[in-house]
Amino acid sequence: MGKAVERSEFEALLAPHLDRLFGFALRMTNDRTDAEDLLQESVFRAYRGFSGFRPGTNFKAWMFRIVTNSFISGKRREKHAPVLCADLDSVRDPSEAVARELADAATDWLRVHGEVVDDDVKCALDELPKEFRAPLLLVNLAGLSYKEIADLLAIPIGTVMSRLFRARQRLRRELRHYALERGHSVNA
Amino acid sequence: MSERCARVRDLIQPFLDGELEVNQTVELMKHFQLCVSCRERCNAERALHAVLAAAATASLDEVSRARILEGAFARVDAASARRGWLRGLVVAAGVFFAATAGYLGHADPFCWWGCGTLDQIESYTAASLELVEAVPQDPPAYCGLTLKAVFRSDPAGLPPRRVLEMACDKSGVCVNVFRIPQGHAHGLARRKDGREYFEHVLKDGTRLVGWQDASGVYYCVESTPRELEGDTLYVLAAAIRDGDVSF
Repeated sequence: MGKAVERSEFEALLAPHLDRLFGFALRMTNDRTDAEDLLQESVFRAYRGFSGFRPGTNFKAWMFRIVTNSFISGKRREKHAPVLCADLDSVRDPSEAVARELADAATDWLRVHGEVVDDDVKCALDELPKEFRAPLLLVNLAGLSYKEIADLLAIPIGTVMSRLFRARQRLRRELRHYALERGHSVNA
Repeated sequence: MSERCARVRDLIQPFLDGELEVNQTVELMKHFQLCVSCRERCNAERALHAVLAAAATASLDEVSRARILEGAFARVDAASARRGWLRGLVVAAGVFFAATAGYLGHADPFCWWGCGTLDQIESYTAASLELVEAVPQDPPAYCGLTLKAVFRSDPAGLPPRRVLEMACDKSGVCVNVFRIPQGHAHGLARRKDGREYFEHVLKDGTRLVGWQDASGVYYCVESTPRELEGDTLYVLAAAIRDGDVSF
């Protein structure tokens, strides 16, 4: 177990990751004020609980775990079901047929990529159900492993992988749609 | 698409997520050298990764950054001030328990009453105990937050494991449920409604009242309301071994 830390030392560790942590909080809460509150709560917990961090291990991943746990705790306090752990894998997706079509035409995405802007991606991310959004962000932003995400969200590793797959499928579909709206031609 | 390509494409996302074994990575790289289609598929997926990471990162302006950090550190300072005050209570309670244990002639009563947040509870545990896990229970067994905290004790002294359930609600009433061996008692006992009650008054006037059921579970209800912040729990900690208190 680690030891307590000076504030300046803790800030130096935290500074390079704040934007990504805030981005994660923002994409999970969909509200800037809530995201700032979530991040402040997480920084509070992290600084206070720094003795729980093992020196030499991945500080960024540790912080992302704290933000995720803070988000889940916040939802519990609001008496909402812990949405990140809901089992939606059995829910039929009405656009599965489209997703299947696109799954094999993913190279469209490469042509579309240059036309996609940040706002499109943010909108597409926000449209993902939280159950899919959380694992995707934790892999892409935090660099957590499938096992770490499974433990954090209390779901099986297979569910993590399946949600990642479906999240990316949906994202590609939405971004392809945005690109088409911008008049970019996408041919198979 | 060949069977090999189908197998490789299933590996592309785990590959980009850093989840593949070395031999799988080597297989993938060899295939990409030979198959343009799969290589382009991998590039497409890699592009999606990069776009996601870039778009999901949000810049915090300096004012917001300072507000978040200052707010968090101010809360830590405030909590530390409360903790210092509470440590005094811990000593008082510990001395009381030790005196009681000696009086009653029981060697190792074990009770927990400490202070901390969900992530930090181990900071307040006795030196001889190691926190194994503290897991929020959902749905809560009591009116507010319930934790199951499992402690591994010093094998030379206390019983090997204790599972404690601690709960508190937003009004400040704190309920602590902890298991102690049958026959151990804490404090002055009095009988009411067929139960034997423990009662102790701390220096700040907090009145601790509790009782033990037939299975050995000890229920202690703190009767003085206190402000609770977030997941902060109010627990006092004392480990008693051979009549001595250690923190």
